[in-house]
Amino acid sequence: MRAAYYLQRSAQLLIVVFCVTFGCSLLLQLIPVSPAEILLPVGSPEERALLTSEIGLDRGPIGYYIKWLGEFVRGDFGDIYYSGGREAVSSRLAVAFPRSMWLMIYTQVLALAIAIPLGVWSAYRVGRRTDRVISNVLFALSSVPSFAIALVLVLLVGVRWQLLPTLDYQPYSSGIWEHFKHMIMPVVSLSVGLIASYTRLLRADMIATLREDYITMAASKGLSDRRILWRHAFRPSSVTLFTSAALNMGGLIGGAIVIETIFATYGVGFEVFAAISGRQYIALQSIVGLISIFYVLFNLIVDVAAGYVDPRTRDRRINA
Amino acid sequence: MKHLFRGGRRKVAAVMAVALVASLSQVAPTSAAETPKTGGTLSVGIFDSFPGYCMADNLANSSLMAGRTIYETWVEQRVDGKIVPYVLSAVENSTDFKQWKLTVRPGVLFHDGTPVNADALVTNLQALRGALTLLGKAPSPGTAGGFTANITEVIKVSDSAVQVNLYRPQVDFLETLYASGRFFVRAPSQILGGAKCSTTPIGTGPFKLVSTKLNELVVTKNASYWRKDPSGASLPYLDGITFTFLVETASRVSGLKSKSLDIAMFTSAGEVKQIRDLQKNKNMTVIESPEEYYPSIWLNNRIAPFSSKNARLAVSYAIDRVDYNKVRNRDYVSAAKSIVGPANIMYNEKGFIQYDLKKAKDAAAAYKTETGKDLEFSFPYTAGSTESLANATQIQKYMTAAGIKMNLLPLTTAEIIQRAFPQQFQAMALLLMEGAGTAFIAPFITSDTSGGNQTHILRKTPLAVLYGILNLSAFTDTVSEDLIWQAKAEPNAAKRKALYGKATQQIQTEARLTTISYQKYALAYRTNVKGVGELGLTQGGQRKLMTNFGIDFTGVWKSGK
Amino acid sequence: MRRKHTIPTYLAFGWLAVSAFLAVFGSFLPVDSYQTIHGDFIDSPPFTSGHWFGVDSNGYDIFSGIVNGARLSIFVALVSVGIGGLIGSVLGITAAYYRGKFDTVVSTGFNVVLSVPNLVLALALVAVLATNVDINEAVPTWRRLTTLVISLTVVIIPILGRIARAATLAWSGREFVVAARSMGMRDRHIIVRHIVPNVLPALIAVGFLAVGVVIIAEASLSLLGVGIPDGASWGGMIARGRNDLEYNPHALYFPIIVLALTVISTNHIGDVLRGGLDRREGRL
Repeated sequence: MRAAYYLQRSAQLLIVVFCVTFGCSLLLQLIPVSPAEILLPVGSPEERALLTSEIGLDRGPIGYYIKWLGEFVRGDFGDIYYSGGREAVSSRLAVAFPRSMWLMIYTQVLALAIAIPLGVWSAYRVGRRTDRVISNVLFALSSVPSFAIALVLVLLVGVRWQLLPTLDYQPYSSGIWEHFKHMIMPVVSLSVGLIASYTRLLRADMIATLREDYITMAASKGLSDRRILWRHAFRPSSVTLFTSAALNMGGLIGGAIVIETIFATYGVGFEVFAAISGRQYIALQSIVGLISIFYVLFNLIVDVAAGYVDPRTRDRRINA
Repeated sequence: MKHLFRGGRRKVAAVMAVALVASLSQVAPTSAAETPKTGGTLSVGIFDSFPGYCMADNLANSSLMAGRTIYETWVEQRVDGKIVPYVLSAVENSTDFKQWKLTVRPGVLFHDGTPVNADALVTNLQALRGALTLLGKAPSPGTAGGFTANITEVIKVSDSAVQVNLYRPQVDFLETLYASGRFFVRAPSQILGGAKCSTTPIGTGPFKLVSTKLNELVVTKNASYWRKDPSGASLPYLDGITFTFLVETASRVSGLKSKSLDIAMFTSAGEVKQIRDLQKNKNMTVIESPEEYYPSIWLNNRIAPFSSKNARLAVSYAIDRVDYNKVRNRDYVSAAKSIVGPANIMYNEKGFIQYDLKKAKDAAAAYKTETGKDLEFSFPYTAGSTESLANATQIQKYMTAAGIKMNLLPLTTAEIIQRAFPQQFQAMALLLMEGAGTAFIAPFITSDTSGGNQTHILRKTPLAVLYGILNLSAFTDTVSEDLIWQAKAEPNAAKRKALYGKATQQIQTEARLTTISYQKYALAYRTNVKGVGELGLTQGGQRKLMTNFGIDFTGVWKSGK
Repeated sequence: MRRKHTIPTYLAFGWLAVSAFLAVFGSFLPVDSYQTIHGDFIDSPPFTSGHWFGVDSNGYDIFSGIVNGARLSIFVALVSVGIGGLIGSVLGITAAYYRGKFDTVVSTGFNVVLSVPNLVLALALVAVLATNVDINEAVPTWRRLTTLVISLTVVIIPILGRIARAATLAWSGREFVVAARSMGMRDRHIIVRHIVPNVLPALIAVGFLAVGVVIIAEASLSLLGVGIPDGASWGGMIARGRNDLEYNPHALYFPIIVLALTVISTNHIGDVLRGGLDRREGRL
C-alpha cells in the first residue's frame, strides 16, 4: 500500500521534470531569432544550418525534445558554444554543483537550527513581549535583501575586522577550516531571510497545535511544558515548515545568483545566469532540468518524512 | 574590438567616462632596487569575463590582461608608442610599405613544446584573416577578419621568415599586427585543434593554463619561458596567478582591503569614487593608464533619423560635454574636444561640434522642416546597470532641453551586442576607439577595411560583411576614407598627421559620430606586490606601465605573504 | 481575549496609511521626478537644504526616490500577492479537500513552477513577453510592469497554494471535519466554515511575509535588469546603492528603513487580524 503510494508519487514527480524540460524546449522555439544565429554571430549560412541540425532544432519541437532527452538521460548535457568550438556543460557543472550543494545544505541547516527554537519559543510565549520582539526583529532583518546583508558583512567582518576572506570558494581538500571560512558569510547572508520565514511558519502552526485538546489534556496530566512543546506539539506542527524548506532547495541551488556573484562562489546560479545572458539555451535547458530533478528528490524525501512526522497526513493520503 | 563581445554588464556602462588632465597617469615604479624573490601566487580581481581564447573571442580590458599572461604578441608597444619586434626578431619593409618581411625569434617554444617558426606565423595570420576558415580548418576569425583585410598574401620565405603583402600601402602595419595587444601568438595546435580552440589557450607566455571558466582563469609558471631577467635568472618570478571576474565594484574594493585580493583593476567609467578612495589608502599603490580611450556616441547614418545631417548636428550640439564630465565622471577625465583624444595622431579640434543649445534647437527645427517630423530617437542602455541608466538619463536631459525626444531602451548586454554589429540601433554608446595610432581607430570609421580590394579572399563570401561591420555609425564617406588611406601611405610623420587631421575634420563636420569625454583605467595593488613595470622589453625600452589591458606580469614578484 | 488596539497598532496603521498616501498621491506632491539628476548635489548627506534625505552618487534625490518608489513597490507587491494568493489558496484548498485527479493536476502544476528557481522563471518570462520586434521601439513601461507582475504572481501562486494544500490536508483529517462530513454537511459549507478559518492563519502569516519577499525579489530582479523599469522602486534603490555602502551609506539606509517599516507594519497588522480569526476557532 505504502510502496504503491510512493511509486505513484515518484511517477508524479517524473512528470514534473518532463513538464519543466519540455517547457524549456518550447520556449526555445518561441525566441524570435534562431539560436544558431546567436551562437555563430559571424558564421556562414552553411555553418549555421550544420549547427541547427546538430542541436536538433530542424526536427521541430518534439523531435528536438526527444533528441535532447535521449542525450540528457545518458548524461550528455549538451555543450556551451563559443566562437571557436565548445565545452561540455557537464564539465562546468562538475565544478559548480558541489559549491551550490554545500551552500544550500549549510544555509538550510543554519536557518532551521535557529528558526526551530525561535519558532517554538515564540509560539509558547505567544502575544507576550518576547514573541513580539522576536517577530519584529526577524521581520526587520527579512526586509533587508540578502545582497545588502552580504555587503554589510563584507564591510564589517572582512574589511574592518579582517576576520574572514571575502571572496572565493575552497573545497574540503584545502582543509575543513579553509572550506568553512569561505562559506560563513555567504551562508549567513542567505539564511537571514529564511530564518524569518521558517520561524513564522512554525510559530503559526505551533500556536494552532497548542490549542488542541490533546495538548490541554497533556498539560492537565502535569507533563512539563518542555516535554509538551517538543514531544507532543513540535512534531505535528513542523509539516508546513519542512514542506517550505524543501521548496527552497531548488531556489538555493540555482537562484543564489547575486550572492554567488558578490562572494565569487560561482555555483550553479552563476551558470544559469551566464547561460541566460550568453543565450546558451541548450545549457540552460539541461541545468534547469537538473535543478528540477533535485527539487523533486528533496520533495520526495520530505514527503516520506512528513508521513513519519504526522501519521494523520500519511493515512489520509494513503486512504485517498 | 575589445569591447565587442565583452561579457560583463559593465560593457556599455563603461562606455562613457571622463576626467581631469591625465598628467599623473604614468606613476613611476617603486625606486628602491630590491632583489626579486621567486615563488608565491597572486589573486587578481578583474571586471571582465572570459568569453574564450580563439580568434573571434574578444578578451576585453582586464580579461585581456589575464589572457596576456598566457599569450604574447609578435610585436610590442613601447612607452613612447613605437611598435617593436617581440616574438619576432626583425621586421623589414619595402619602400612602398606594401611588402613586410617578418622574421621569427629563434628558440621560442609554445606551451605544447612545439617551436615558434614561420609555419606558426603563417597559420596565425591566415587564421586571423579568415583564410583558414574558408578552408574549413579553423574557426571564424570574427572581427579580426575586418582588421586584417588589407593583407592580400602571406608567404613563407624561409623556416623563420614570412612575407606579408598588402593591398594598400600601410606605414603603420605593425600597429595592425599588434592590434592593441590582441593579436596573440597562438600555437597552431590550438588554432587547428577544432572544438577546443576557445577553451584551451596555448601560447608562448610566461604562464600557462591550469583551468579557465567564464569567470576565472588560473595560470601557472611556464618553466621553459624564453626570457631571462637582467641578472640571468629565469622568468617569471611568480608560481601562479588566479584571475577572478568580479562584476561588483564593491567586491573588488573589499577584496583588496581584506587581503583576499593582491591586485584589482578598475575603470574610470562609474568607478571613480572607488579609485580615489584606494589612492588614499597607504596599503595600496594605484597606477593609472593614459587617457587614451575614446568612448563614442555612434549615430546610425544609414537609417532615420540620423541619415539626416540635421539630426546628427542637433544631437551633437545638444550635449553639454563639460557638464556631463562633471556630473558623471567627477572631472576625473577630460571632456572631449575631438572624436579622439589629444594623444592620438588623428586628434583635431577643427569641425568638432561643441555644446550650443541654440544651434541644437535650430538644427532640430531644420530637421522638422526637412522631414515634417519631430526629431526623436531611441538609445539603448544596459538594464540593471545603475551607471548605464544614469549616463543615458543625463544625455536625455540635454536632448529634452533642445527639444529632442530621446527614448531609453533597457536591454540586456547580450541583446545590445547582438544588435549593435548588424548596426540596428539608431544610436548607441560604446567604447571602441583607443590609442595613439590609427590601427584601432580607422576600422571603426571606414566602410571597407580591404581598401576596395575586389579580389580579396573574403570578397565573394559571407564573411565580406566583416569589411564594414566595425563601423557602427554605418556611414560611407569617400572624402575621409581616401584621406585615411593616403595618410597610411605617407612616410613623413608631419604630413601624415596633417592628412589624418583633415579626415577627422571631415568626419566631425559631417557629425558622423560624437564623443562626450575620454576614459582611462586604474590598477590597485597591495604593497607586497613588487616589480610592477620594472622589466624592460627584449630590445630595450619599457612597455607602457598601465593600459586598458593592465600590466605585464612577467617581472612581477611577491614579497612576504 | 480581544486584544486592545495598542500604540504599536496605531503606529503600524499610521505607517501603512502614509505609504498608501504616497503610493496614491505621490505623483501629485511637489517632489522632483526620481529621474532628475542633481549634478551639483552628488553625494550630499541627509538634511542638505532641498534634499532632506540626501543625494546618491548618481545625483538622484533619495527623498523623491522614496516617495515615487512607494507607488510601484506597493502596487507590485499587493497585486502579485493578492492575485497569486487568491488563486493559490483556492487551488490548494480545493485540491486538498477533493483529492483525486484534480489534486494530482494542481500539485503537479505547483511543482512544475516551483522547481524552476523564481529568478530564472522571471528572467525567462520577461525575455519572451517584454521584447519588441522593432528593436528601436521601446517596450512601454506598462507592458514591462505587467510582465513583472505576472511573473511574480506566477511565483506566488504555488508558494501559497502548497501551504494552503498542506494545511488543508492536515485539517481535513481532523475529527470535526470528519464529523461534519458524516453529518452530511455540504462540501462547500465545510470548506467555508471549517477548513478556511483554520487554514487562514498560516496563509495570512505567509501572505504578509510574501509582501516583503516580493518587494525584495523585485530588488534582485532589478539587479539582473528585469525589475521595475528605471529602478523606480524601493528595492531598486537598494540595488543601485549597493556600491555606495562604504562611501554613501545613507543611499542604502533610507530605502531599507522604509522597507523594514512597511514589512514590520504589515506583519503587526497581520497579527492583529489573526487575533480576530483566532476567536472564531475558539468558538469551535
